[in-house]
Amino acid sequence: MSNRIKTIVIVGGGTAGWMAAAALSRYLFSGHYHIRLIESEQIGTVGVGEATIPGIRDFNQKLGINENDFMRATHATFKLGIQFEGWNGGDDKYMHPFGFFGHELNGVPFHHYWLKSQQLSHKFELEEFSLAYQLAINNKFKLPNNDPKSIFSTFFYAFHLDASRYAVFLRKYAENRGVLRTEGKVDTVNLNPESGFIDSVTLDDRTQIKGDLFIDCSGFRGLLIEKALGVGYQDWSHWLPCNRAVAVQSESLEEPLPYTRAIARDAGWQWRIPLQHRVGNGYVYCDKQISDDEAWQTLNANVPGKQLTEPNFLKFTTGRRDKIWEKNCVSVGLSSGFLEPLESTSIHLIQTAIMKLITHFPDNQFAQEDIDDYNQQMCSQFDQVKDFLILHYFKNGRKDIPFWDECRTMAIPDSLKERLNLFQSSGHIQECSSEIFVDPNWLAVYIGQKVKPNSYHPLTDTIPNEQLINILNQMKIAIGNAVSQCPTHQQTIQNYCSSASESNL
Amino acid sequence: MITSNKLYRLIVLGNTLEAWLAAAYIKRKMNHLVEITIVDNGQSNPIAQYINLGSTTHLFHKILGLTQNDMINFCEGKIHFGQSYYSIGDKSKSFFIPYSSSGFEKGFFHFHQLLSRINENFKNYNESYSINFALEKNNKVPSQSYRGPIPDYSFVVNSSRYHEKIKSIALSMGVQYIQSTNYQLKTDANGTINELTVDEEKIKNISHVINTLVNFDSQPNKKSSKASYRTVEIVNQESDYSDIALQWSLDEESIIKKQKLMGKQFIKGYHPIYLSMQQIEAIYSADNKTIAIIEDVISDTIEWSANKLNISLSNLETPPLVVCELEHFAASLADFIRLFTVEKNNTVNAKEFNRLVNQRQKSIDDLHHLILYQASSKLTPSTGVSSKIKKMIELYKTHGRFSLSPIEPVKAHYYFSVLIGNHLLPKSYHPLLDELDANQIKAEVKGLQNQIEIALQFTNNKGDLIPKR
Repeated sequence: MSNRIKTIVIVGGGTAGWMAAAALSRYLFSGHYHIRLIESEQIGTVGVGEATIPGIRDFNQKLGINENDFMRATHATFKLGIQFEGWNGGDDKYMHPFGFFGHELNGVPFHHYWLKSQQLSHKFELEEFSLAYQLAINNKFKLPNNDPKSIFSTFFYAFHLDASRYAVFLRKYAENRGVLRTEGKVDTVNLNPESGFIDSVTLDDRTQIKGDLFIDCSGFRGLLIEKALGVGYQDWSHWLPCNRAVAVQSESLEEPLPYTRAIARDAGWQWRIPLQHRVGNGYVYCDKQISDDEAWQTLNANVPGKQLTEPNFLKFTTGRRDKIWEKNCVSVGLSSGFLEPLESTSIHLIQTAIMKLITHFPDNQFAQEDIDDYNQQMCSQFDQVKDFLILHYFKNGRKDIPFWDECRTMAIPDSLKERLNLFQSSGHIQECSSEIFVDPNWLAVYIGQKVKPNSYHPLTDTIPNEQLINILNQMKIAIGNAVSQCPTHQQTIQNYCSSASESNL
Repeated sequence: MITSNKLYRLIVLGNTLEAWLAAAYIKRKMNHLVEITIVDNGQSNPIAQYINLGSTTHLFHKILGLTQNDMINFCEGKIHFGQSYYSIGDKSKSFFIPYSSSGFEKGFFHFHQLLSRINENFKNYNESYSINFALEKNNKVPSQSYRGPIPDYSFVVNSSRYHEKIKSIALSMGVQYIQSTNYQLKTDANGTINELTVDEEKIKNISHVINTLVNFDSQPNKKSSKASYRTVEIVNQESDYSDIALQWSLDEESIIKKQKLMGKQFIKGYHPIYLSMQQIEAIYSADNKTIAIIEDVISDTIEWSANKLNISLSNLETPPLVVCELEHFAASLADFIRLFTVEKNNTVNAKEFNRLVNQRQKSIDDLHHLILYQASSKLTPSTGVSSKIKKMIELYKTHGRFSLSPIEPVKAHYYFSVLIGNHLLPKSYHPLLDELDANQIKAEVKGLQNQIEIALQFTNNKGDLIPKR
């Protein structure tokens, strides 16, 4: 093919930059392409996004990364879900586990039977039917399998990882496959006066680096996509009002839990992400409600264990670029948009952006049809995550706290309104085209946030009440037996991927 | 929470195939919870002589209790592995849509992109690389000793026999049947039908009404638009294609319109999809006077806007170039069951039902319009192509890419078959395909052709059952 592009320039290292470099080096291996990554050691990486969702395993597998090596290198732990604490007020907590609840009967989704059981003498908790939840809460873990007949095929897992170490791990991977790294800060972005395409970037030492395709991984600033190309930004603060975060690392005082904790606070929420060697902590908050100092005081008072770093303050505006790809520039990571880490979607959105770029990989004609399709798909990803996040805030039960009262009374997007109405009406979960969150994810948060349907499916009445109770009890017992067979989370880490045995990877 | 645990009374209006299918399916799913009465008011939908059940309705028929044996022996069914399309204006643009996709995908790359990379002419990629096409062409079905994956297939059955079978199943399950032209429906203050009087007899507390009659007064609001299409009409024909052709019955209004358009009498209409290539050749090469091509047959594109779940399934019309009437109907019945609710005035579930049906209808219309769009411009209008399809075509034209939503009901290879079958080839292939070794791709493609040849050795003649897996 003669009109092939030749040089790809990635501006910015960090998780997004090195994920992009690694993936491109995996698929562009013939020597036809030159991949260069520019980063400056003077510019720190944001370093959040340490919690992931199960899709990351797919990304690593595509790159041929050995999971044990990856976990050792990034000091990762297993993650089975996210526990939301205090989102309904008081000590209430619920989990969004990565897996199914029960299994469908007679073609009717399981949760309708569970809803019906709430009317009967024998009460069950929905979480009793989630193996992921039961493993998580009992601090146990075993790798799932693919046999659909096995109960161990009913859950998925992700990781808590050290994002900086992940970037280092991927840097080694990428450099081994020919990616060139240039140390330097981008000073100027040089546009072609006729086409408006990016011709080159000039570094602070006046080195000029030319490229055909530019990947903007410069973080919130969006050096290329926004500052140079000015694509515009959709501000979603009216739905997701948190716009600040403060993060700090602390030492581990206990064995790592196989789940992330999201603890509601007066002006936002606090995360706790247990790694093998430390704990990541942070407070995501709204600066209209509290000052940075107050936020830090709150976090500081709620971080057990010795703090290992100074507090790192971040500012952001929730939303996304109007265009993720413009001309010969694709934005990946924070430069494309920001959604708070409540559902650990940052790394997933990065990997989606990269994989979709490979699917839509351009030649030097940069067909507008490819760019439009990419933008449509990526914007849709952001939009779907947005709705899911808003649900957590909108259905909160924290009364008489200004921040939470405002969230509860805000006008929500029509797409979410329609979904909620349908679930509230009859427990039906609207099928979604999302590649990220599907039925069990929505169900976990609906029920967790006390969204109760007005009715359950009438077809559940085809099973007599006593028989239903028996079936539910059997499911519960099967899950209990499965949990009892599993080693602890810590034991699995030690046997599988302990960072203590980290080799020179 | 509203609890149910009660008996639902469903009224199905009409003595149509759809009526009996709906009654049998709902009864099977809801069992003792439902009491179903079919009211036959003497009207019935015109039913085609043969009906294609579609490749996605096997589970639907399993639920109904219909076996392959029933399909073949009782319903006079014939197995098909895809649909043949014959382009009237340009015979070279005839093509085949297999029910299973052809070739293989490799990472990010579609099969036709792989063929393009190795400079293979992929105009006939379905014909060369599809086990479905090979089976269809050779009139074979997989035998017990066949080891490959069973390709998707469909039954084309005698619709009268099929109707009869479904009716007997429904009656055996206890579906009530009343024949009467003297019936009356009564609505409550909310406009919900809650009472039916048939010859002085009253059925009260009706939960849902399923209307299978096209001209039922209380059918949901519909917005009709005309989608014109062309089909082959054989006038003054004496050929005997009736065993394979779908006889297309028309209502009075359409017949008058056709006569007006054509200026002469016609006898029967044949759906080109059901004609084999040889038979189409025979028609095409016949005296021109015996063939007329007509335009403008009314097809209502229905937009559902029912505000209650009292539905009219007969409006699930599909354009004739996409053979999926029964698939659409079965999927809509499944949606109906999924959204079945104890609340009679529940508008939320009705809205969701409408959304799902409309979404499916739209996709089917899109494929239909794509078929027309790609056919000869001399003969076929290109109006009606949605902006979604136009974007798809433009995207495909650059590098052969194609993007579909994960919940899109029409499969991607249907679109490819139409695009490629009509000579619409991409300008180039995916740039990253140059990273792959062409010789390796060639070897894999050759391997696929060998596999198809070997697979054909383990087949039986059509008419036999497909082995269960």
